[in-house]
Amino acid sequence: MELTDLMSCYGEGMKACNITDDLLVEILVRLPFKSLCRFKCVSKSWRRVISDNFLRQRLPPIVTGLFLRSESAQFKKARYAYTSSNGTVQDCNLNFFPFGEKSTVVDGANGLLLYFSSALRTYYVVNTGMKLWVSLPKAQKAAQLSMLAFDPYTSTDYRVVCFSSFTAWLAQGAELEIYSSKPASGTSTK
Amino acid sequence: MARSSTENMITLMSSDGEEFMVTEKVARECTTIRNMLEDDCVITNIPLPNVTSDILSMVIEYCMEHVAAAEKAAAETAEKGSSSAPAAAKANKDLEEWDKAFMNVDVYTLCDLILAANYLNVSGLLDLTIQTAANLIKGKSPEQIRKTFHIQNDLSLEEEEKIRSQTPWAFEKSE
Repeated sequence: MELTDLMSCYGEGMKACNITDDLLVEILVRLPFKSLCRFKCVSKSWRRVISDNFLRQRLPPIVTGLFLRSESAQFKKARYAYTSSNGTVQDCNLNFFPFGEKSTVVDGANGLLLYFSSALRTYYVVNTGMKLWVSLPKAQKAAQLSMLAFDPYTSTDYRVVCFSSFTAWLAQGAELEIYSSKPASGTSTK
Repeated sequence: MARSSTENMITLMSSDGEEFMVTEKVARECTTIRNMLEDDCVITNIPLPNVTSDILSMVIEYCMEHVAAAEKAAAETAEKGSSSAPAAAKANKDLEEWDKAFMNVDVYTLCDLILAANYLNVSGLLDLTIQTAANLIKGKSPEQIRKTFHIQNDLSLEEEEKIRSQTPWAFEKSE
């Protein structure tokens, strides 16, 4: 197909391509990432279709850190390691968090870890990169399932969702407690 | 309800009222029509209000070529007992060449073909047209895209500058 011919024979006011957004997406997903970044500034509707979320879904998931717990005497503590851009794994010292040994990790999301201390009935959100941590207000009820939701692409806010009365889940629904806050900035108790 | 071995003919009617007689086998290449036929097997006349005659004739041309290629391959397999790999490879290559020549159309016809292939659910044609469109636009600049598709740039200078500054490497000349 000759693009130059095409542009010379279609003047202003000729019919436009009325392709639907979902078909445009089908075309866009076959393009190199570089083209996608460039085509964001074609128009508002192209920018909307090639949203950040869309681009992110197109990218292969990359492991940025890994969390491990070993039962050997030498490594009693949980360890956290980063993968850096040069391909090496860097150990991250979690000693800055004083409750690490008395609580357990229940969830993690994009660099944040959620710890729970059953003795103190307290949740802690730990930012491994910034070496900051916060304790959440004491849980009102014993939670059966607790989850940490954090996605830095969407918001710098995180949420901790705790489901209680989990057994009656299907019959009566579940009770939840939700903690929401700005991450480890002003509320840090470091 | 048994289908006869002699070929049933189906009439497809375009949005502008033109009628196209095709064999049921060719019509069945369109999943949308195949589903209609399976719901109601006595149907012989199908109006397609979303497809113009020039585009419908191209879709039919594509389906006929692909049905013929599949029949030829099946006949050769039946004749020799097994398909010979070089012959099958050559047949595939020929069909690819045919597809490539078939895609020598302007961008508006291409867009209409994408819409028709999607509406009639011809998976092979949809894949071919989508890939052709992707190849066509892949190396273009935003300005060329706007010109090609007659898109009005409704972004403000500031908005455009912001996008460019997010990924400046995407706007470098070398592809």
